[in-house]
Parts: sequence; structure tokens; C-alpha cells
Amino acid sequence: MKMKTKVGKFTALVAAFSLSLALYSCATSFNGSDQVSVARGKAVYHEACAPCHGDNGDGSGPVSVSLRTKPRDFKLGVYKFRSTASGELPTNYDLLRTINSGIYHTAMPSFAQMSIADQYSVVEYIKTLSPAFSDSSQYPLDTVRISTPIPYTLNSIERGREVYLNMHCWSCHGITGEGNGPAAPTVTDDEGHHIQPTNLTHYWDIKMGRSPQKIYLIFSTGLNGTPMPSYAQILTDKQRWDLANYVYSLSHKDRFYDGKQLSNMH
Amino acid sequence: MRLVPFRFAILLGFAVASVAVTTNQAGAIPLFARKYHVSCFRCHTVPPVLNDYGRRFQINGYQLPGTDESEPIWAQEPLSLSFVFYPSFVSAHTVTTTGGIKTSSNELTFQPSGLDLFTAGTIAKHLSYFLAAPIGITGPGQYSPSIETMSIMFNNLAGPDGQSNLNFRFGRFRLWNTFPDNTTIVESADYLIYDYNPAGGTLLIADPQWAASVYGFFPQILDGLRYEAAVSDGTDGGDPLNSNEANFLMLEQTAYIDNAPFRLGLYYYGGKELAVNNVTDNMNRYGFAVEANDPWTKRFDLSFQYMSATDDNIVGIKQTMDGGFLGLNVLIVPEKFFIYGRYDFVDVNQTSEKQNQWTGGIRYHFAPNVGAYAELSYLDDNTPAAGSDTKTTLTTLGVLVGF
Repeated sequence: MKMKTKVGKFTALVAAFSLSLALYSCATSFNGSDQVSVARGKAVYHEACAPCHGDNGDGSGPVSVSLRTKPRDFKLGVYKFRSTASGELPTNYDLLRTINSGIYHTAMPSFAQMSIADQYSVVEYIKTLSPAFSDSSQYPLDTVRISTPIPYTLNSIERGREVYLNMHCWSCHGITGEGNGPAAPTVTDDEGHHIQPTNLTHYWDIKMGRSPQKIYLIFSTGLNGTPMPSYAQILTDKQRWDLANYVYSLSHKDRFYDGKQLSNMH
Repeated sequence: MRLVPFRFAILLGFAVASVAVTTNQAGAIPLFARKYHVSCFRCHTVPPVLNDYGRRFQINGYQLPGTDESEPIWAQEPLSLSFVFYPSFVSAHTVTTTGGIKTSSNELTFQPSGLDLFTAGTIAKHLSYFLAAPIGITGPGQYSPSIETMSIMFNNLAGPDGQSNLNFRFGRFRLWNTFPDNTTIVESADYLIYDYNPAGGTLLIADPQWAASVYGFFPQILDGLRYEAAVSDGTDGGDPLNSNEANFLMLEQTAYIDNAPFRLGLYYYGGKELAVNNVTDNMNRYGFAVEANDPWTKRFDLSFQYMSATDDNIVGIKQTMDGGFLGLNVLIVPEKFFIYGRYDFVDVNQTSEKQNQWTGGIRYHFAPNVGAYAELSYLDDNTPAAGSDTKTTLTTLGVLVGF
């Protein structure tokens, strides 16, 4: 028995040593490739992103002054469009998706024509611009799970309209969803810049939520750095889907002011 | 005489009403903005003035910086095609003094401008094209299509894809000076130095011309070194190279001071052309250009260019000229409201001819692709040797619409 135990301990020791060695070599090589990626990302960033986002990433590049929607300040580490809980950092995929798809109704174009390796290297570089990404207390990230959608039906839209009114979404976005609520003139972001609440009846004004799923995600994550909160803890899953269906219906011109036009819906 | 301001006011009202109507219908946006789903102001400080991103877009073969597209235009949606038209009302007041006798004239005209057609994009990886074809109005019901520029570009021939280090282009195009004359905010007054050609030939530094060039951009050097080296055979094409040819060299360095661009460009354009008296004029133009944004508000853009010109055979004599311009663009409201001004000067040393031109204007954009402007321009052309002095005042009210 003792012999067996000794053999077992020895085997365990060798196994542990081998595993440590393997992890160390992996970590070293990963770190090495990361550095290459960051260096490449810096070069691509300087060419493609710096004119708007600035050399140091603070969003004040030479082009930014002529843009009404100001470029993101990467030094703050605050991002609107994420799949993570309110107040959290975005995932690599969130950043990659923005670079790849662009943001509608802003000056941020889609860089889908750029190689995925280059896009990813820019993600790696952008993360070095804010200390938040190297702060271990920010991890692990809590990604929001998109539940099974509630069908886009008249009943769901009607319920969504009730939620819209009860949650005072209209105070910013307006009773008709046109972004002209009583609080709209005074809405500012965390940096004090005035921001115009989205006109939900203009499909082309909507930056990211162009499907019920994406609208649901915005209600669940909130938009960091803006007054748009997360409703993950306030509304039930079903209510968020109903609200998403209602907002989607607004952007598709199915307007239901006080329910008067609901009869036109098929 | 009293009717002129009244008519002008009516036409002004009509122009404003036209813009208001057009604005409501302006759902479409021009070519590149439409293709990449971004506002015109992504690449323009105020159209057609390019910002730093637009300059990088242009030099990368009309594709996003950092990318090298491979999809041909026939596989792309929407169609790579756009139109621009820019009608205007112009009131011209001219006072001419010749031999001590003064005459004056007033003229109010509507300039319909025609329609400019643009198409551009990628054909294959490392290969793109640009074509500008204005359809001018030559008379009642008469239209004259022409090709202003057309070029084939081979992009990113060396260095990382999308960084535009080394490119080649061939065709009829404008050479890339720091301030190309097709990207100025001033609509009614030309750059005087670019139009200077005492030989009466076709070689003008800023006009489209048949040429082949090597050009590129190095973002790795400070905030970007741009260069172009070209050989040209004159603006009309088909001219024999032994009578018309010019070489062009341009170097331009940009550095950001607190994210405000500061640019210094040097250029040389020299060669020979067949002058009007059928003798060969050896000519050269060289100078420098400076552009600076104020680093505090970044809303003031100052531009300056100096040019020296020498022509060795203008009716048998050598002629030299010094000239330039100083311009200021001010961005009052981003993407909306702009004011601007420019002073141009030309001094011809042998004839003592002096031209001084002041221009000022305002521009308002109802939408990124719909703008209206009002400009006032004053040109004093004084030639003591001929005993003549002409003063011209232009008041222009115009609309710019792209779709």
C-alpha cells in the first residue's frame, strides 16, 4: 500500500509539474502572439482609426471636430454596445462586431473588408488603451443570455406599449417614439455631452437595435455611459421581449398612438 | 438698375424654396457614403473639402483605410454611381478703366451647372478606378457630356495591405497637390495661381491631365508622409511628348499637434509646352503649401500656398510670376454651418500685372448631401503697362445637391 501511495504521489507530482510546464509554455507563447497582435493592431489603428479616435484613443482625432456623434473615447473603457451586464466591459466579440459591422447613423463604417486577423489585432490594441481591461476585478464578465423570443404579435406589441408608458420611456423617447420626450433637450452622457434620444420611428436612425433580438439585448445590458439603463433587474424577461417587439414595430412605421391604430395591424 | 436687387431677392427666395423642397426628398446619399453606410462628413470637413480620413480613403484607391477590397463593383450593392448638381444665381458687377475711361456693367445670370456623374470603386484586389463625367448644358435643350477624369489605380503594391505605401495610377486625373482645386469650399472664384498660363497652352498644374504616377502614403512616418511623382503629356491627351510634357513631384508631411493636423507640402511641376505662337515654352512651377488647424477648438483651418512660376518664352521674353493664396475655413456647427474666406494674389514681374482677389462665404447644410451657400468675391486685375484696371464683384447664391 505504501509503495502504491509513493508511486501515486510521484505520478501526481510529475503530472502536476508537466501540467505547469505546459501551461507556462502556452502562456508564454500566447503572450508572445498577443504582443505581435497588439503591435499589428497599433499600426492598423494608426492608419484606419486614429483620424477619428485620435492617436492616443481619446476620441478627439482631427476628424472628430466635424462629426456630431463624437467618436468613442477608448481611454475610458466605457462602451455602449455590449453583450455584458450593465456597467461591465465588453467582450472581445462585442468589440470585433462593432469594427466588423460599423454603427449605423454614425461615422463609424463597417471594416468587414479588413482581414479578421487585423480586426482582432485592433481589438487587442484598443484594450491596451484603457486600464480597465487589465483590472482583474472587472472579470469574469457576465454575458447576457438571449432567451427564446416571444413571437411578434399584436398582443405582445400591445403589452410592450403598456411597458413603454409605465416605465416612462416616453420621457426621453417621446409618446410617439420620435425622440422628442420632455426630457430630451437635457439628456447628456457621462461626459456631459448632449445626446439626442433615438427617434424610434426612424429605422435609419437606430444605431444597433435593428431586430427584436438586438433591441432586447439593449434593454438587458443598458448603454453604458448614457442615461439608458439596463432593465434586466426591473422587467421580467417576457416584459423585455414585449417592449422589444413594440419598439421594433415603431421603427417599422406601425405606430400605435394610444392604441388608436392597432386595428390596422395584421 | 433698381430692378436688379429686386430680381435677385426673388431668385434668392426661389433658391431657398428649392432647397427646402429638395431636402424633404433627399433620402439618398452619394456614392461612398451610401456604399459604406456613413455620413458624407466621415470624409469631408465640408464637402468637397477632404478631412484626414477622406485623404486616406482617397489615396487608398477609394476604399477604407486599412483595407484592400477584392469585390468588383458589379457584385456590390448599391450601384457605385452618384450625381451632383449645383445650380447658382450670379450677379456680376464689373468696372473697367482703360486709358482713363471708366465703363461699368451689371449682369444677373442663372447658371444651371448641369449634372456631374461619378462612379468609382474596386475592380479586383489591388485594382480600383475613378470616373467623373459632367453633363454640361451648352444651350437651350442642348447637353454636352464629357469625361473630366478617369483613372485606373493599382493599390498597395508594397507594404501591408491597406496602408497605401506604394501605388500606381494611369489615366486623366488631377495631380495631388496639398490643395487640389476640386476640393475647395469656394465655389465662385478660382485659385488664381492654378489658372496662370501665359503661354496659352494646355499645361495647368491643377487641371486634369493625362499622366502616369507613382504615389503613396506612409502613416508610419509621424502622422503621414504623402508623395507623388508623375509624368504628364498635357491636359488634352494625344499631344506628342516632344512638344508637350511635364514632370510633377510632391512631398507632404502631416503631424498632429494635440490632434490638430499641421501639414507642409512641397511641389515641383516643370516641362515644356507648345505656346500660342507655335514656339516651345520651357516652364516650371514650384512652391510650398501649409495647412494648420488650431489645436484648441480645432474649428479653424488655415491654408496657405506660395507658387513661383517661370516661362522662358512668352512672345520671345522670359516671364516670372509670384503668387499664392491664404484661406480660412471655420466650422461653426459640425455637419451644418460653415463660414470661409480666401485671399488670392498674383504678381507678374515683367508686365507688373497684379491680381488680387478676396472671397468670403457662408454654407449651410440642410442634410449631409444638400447644402446652400452665399458668396461674395472681388477681383482687382491691374495691368499698368496696358493702362487697364478691371474690378469685378461677383455675388453668388447656389445650391449643392448630391444623390
